[in-house]
Amino acid sequence: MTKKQLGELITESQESLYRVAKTILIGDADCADAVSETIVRAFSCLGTLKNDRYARTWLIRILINECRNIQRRGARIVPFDEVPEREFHRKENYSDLYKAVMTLPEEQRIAVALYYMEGYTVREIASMEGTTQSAVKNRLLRARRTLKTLLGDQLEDEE
Amino acid sequence: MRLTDMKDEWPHMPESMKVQVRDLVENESGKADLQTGRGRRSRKKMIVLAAALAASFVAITVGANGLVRLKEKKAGSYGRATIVDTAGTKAPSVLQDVDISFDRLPDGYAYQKQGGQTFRNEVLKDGSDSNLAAAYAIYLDKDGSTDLITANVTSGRKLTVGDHEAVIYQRGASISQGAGTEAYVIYPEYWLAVQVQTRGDVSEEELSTLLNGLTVTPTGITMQYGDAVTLSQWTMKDASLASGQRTFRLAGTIGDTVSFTGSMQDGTDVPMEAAVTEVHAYDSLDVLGDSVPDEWKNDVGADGKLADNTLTYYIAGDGINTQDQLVKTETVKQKLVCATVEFTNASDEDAANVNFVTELRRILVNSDQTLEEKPEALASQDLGAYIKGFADKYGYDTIRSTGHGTEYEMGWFDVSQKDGSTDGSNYIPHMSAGETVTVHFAWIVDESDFPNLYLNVNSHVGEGDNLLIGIGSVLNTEG
Repeated sequence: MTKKQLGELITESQESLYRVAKTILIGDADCADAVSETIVRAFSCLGTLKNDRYARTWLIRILINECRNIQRRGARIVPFDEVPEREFHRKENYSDLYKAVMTLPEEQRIAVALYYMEGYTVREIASMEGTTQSAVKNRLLRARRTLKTLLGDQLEDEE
Repeated sequence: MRLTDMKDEWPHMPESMKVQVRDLVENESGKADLQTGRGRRSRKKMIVLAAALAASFVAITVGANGLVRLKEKKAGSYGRATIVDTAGTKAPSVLQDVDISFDRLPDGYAYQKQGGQTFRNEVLKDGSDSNLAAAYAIYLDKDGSTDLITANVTSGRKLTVGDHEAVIYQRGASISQGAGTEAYVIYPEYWLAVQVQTRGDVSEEELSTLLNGLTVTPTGITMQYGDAVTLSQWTMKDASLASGQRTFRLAGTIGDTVSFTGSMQDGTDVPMEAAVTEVHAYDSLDVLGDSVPDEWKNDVGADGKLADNTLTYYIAGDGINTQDQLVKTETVKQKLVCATVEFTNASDEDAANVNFVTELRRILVNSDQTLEEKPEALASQDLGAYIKGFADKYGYDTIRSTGHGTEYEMGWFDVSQKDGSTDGSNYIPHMSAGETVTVHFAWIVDESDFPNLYLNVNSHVGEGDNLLIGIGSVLNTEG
């Protein structure tokens, strides 16, 4: 993959990058940092991408690592349930589904976002997260149960 | 709504962030043209551009005419020095954490990965529980370079592994290290040298397979230099002697009770008492029944009794300017020494996972009552080579033995914590306040050491005396 092609991929995937970052971090400033660091790192490590077919997965994996780096640095992270309600309503009108997902433990949030929003398979998610397929399935199952409890009839059963 | 409709329910990327992404992609894509190599002027511009960005990692140009080069030269009469020449190259401000793997394995090899974040050790086992090959990540220092010295080199050559410069040496056997190969592969893009060591019975073809499959993958995590193992740390001389200084004190004989401060597994101090109540010596391991450690079985002769121990005395060579010198060989009888120790929780509170370390020491009591370990004991622990003047004074500094008769660490004991809740087995699971627990110990010992034998019931280094209970004078032969 050339740098030009990588640039095109990043531009096509930018919403996806933001959605995943927003699932792990809350503040937009941290999401912006994570996306920026991901872009820089992807260009500098392009040589490690062995197969263009997996470029998008590779990019998301870098993003998840960058999000965790930011969490470790502890900058500007506000736990979701500590976000002052006034500020919350003023800045964003988050959907009930987003609010509900953000109450899940992080590993469940990531699994839900990658599976339902980004369309990755259980196997791909397991590979990205460095865990087993059983663990990913478990996370998805527990997440669905919690979301069903929180959202009740708002959440339709899956076919 | 359905979970599959989640995308519609999620916040969208702000427009300002899209502008940021566009600008960053343009900048990063534009770097490609500058890096295709148009001479010193282009390189300087690339470095300036990288510094201007908020990036935390600076790419280093690499290739056959790259800025970071591998060189090697003779070191003394018997060694070689590998030099990673980074002159004129700017070191990255932070380091890239990497995973090292052997992606191709010769037939019959299995793979086991160990190690922490900054020091990865990939180990291959051949099913016989012994390591055939290992790879180590050694980061280059930010400033300056330290030579990597390989001792006892019999031959060497430079080569490339993929696109990366490498050097490989064949090492001869010495008393400190078996024969084998030692290779260094440099990865300038990660400011990294990877050392690959293989055992002497790995063939050229197998080595070629391993090296050609050597893969370095960034994890996406950055590190500060202080968090990584760098060349200067890797080449630091072993400080084991300085860190292993102990102070000994004669505390009593069999039947005497001594007091010391023990600890639980969580580090909480526990006032303790210990008394050695019995000591016996045997000609065989029969008294241990079915619980003989596997490694001790080789000490048993054809007649079922403990075989003699052959001790070989050396002056250790450094493999660079000097080689090992054989001084003498002698044969001594071995015995099984069994000791019974009663440990008491001397506090008024219960204690859990109480650690015990009881070592067997060979001690000389000088005429002025000062204590020192027997020189043979120090040489058997490989400490003689680190003591200035040791070889001049005693004529040797290292001893190798065929049996276990020179060992001091706990080889066999009958009380342990086995549920995995501690970091070892030498813990008493529970001691009520005032409770006494009996622990039986056993060691294979050279009979010639009997007069100087002491049990160190609270073995540790650093602060506090190591208490010695004299047992040599009462040893009897049984069995």
